[in-house]
Amino acid sequence: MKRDQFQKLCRDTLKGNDFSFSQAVLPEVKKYLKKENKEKLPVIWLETNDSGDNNIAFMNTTYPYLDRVFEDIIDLWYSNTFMAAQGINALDILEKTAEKYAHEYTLVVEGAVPLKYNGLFNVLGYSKDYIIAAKNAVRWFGKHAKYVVAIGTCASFGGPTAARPNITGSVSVSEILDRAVINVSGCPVNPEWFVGTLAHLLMYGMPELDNLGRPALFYGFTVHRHCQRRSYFDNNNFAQEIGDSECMFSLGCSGPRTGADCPYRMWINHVSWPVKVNTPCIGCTNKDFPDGSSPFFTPLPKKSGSKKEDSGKEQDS
Amino acid sequence: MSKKYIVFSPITRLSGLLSADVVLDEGTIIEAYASSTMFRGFEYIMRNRHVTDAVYMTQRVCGICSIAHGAAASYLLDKIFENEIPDNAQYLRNIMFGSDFLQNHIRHFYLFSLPILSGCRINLLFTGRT
Repeated sequence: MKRDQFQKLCRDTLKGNDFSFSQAVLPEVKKYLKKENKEKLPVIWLETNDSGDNNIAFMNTTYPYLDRVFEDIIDLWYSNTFMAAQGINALDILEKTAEKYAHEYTLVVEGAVPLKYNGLFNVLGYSKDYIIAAKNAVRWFGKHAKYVVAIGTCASFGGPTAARPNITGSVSVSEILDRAVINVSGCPVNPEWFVGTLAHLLMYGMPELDNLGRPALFYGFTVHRHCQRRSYFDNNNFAQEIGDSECMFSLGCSGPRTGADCPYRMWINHVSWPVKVNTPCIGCTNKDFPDGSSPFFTPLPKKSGSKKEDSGKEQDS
Repeated sequence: MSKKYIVFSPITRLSGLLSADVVLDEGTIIEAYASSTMFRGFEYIMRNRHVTDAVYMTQRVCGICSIAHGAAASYLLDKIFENEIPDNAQYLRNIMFGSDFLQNHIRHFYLFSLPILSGCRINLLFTGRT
């Protein structure tokens, strides 16, 4: 499969009831691995300051299911959530992986990186002699990685962890690394955005990024553009209260300034998404989430923290 | 009569970061400390926000039990605004909360507990591959 075809497949997913996207991806990856005699993508997954929601969301991946991702796409060497090893064994694996796959592994960082008090707000592991602060670990492993993927809005832009007053001094991964970082934002991330990015890295290398460093495949259009309630908006037909079937712009929907493909990819095995269950989009893929979207139920022009230049997406009305 | 100080860090297969320090005295644990080595200050983040934001913001506290936080926040809002919610709404909340329990248990058992029960030889991971 050519790169263009792959990108088209990602974009055109879910026309009607055809859930062919991921089912089409796996055989292609397998064929590619066989043909090119390539190894799977070695991955080190560091969990820093976040709620762990992104690895939970990642477990919800369907077609390919989680086991197929581990079997066919990635070699997950270190992950606080998934690995069997514990204690010093886990840190041993981390060290050996970084040695063996230096400049080959993909670093996945989940969560923002706190800088205050020498980064002691987040410690990945410690012993009597040393403390591995997330700040130092991300810097060191980021330096020797082939790709750095920031998963979730915390890692990509700071997100809820760096929301005001940000007493931990948390910043995004790209802020402390002097290199290209792929921001797969979302709070939590849609598993297909993440697995799709990994598959793209394995097969074609760096994906095309938008101006915020997010894969344009998934974040290219605003939620508003493909929203099922778009015609209500165009006809100035707005909801009065939560539960109404009209456009929820009046109830604080952030769709017009949020780049994501939720309306047609949807969530939890393509079942539903916020607007379909009568709750406005809160703009979780945005750079200024959550302060830029709050108060969540205030209409967009009146939001207190709203800064248009930070949203990364032009308002398309 | 020698005391032994054991640092067990990191403890894996859970949501978040955890470490444990244990003091052994001739094979008996006499002191134990658990430390959660991650701090975000969510209590501070929640301050000075609109009260209806709580339903969404508190769900960011934890990834695996987000519905519990969301449900607690919505009950709080009901109290504040003196809402009478219809029976169906209550059923719906219970179903959501129940399915959250279910996914929690399944995830915990199969992904977080089973590797230990199955006796994974964890320290041999690298042999034969390097």
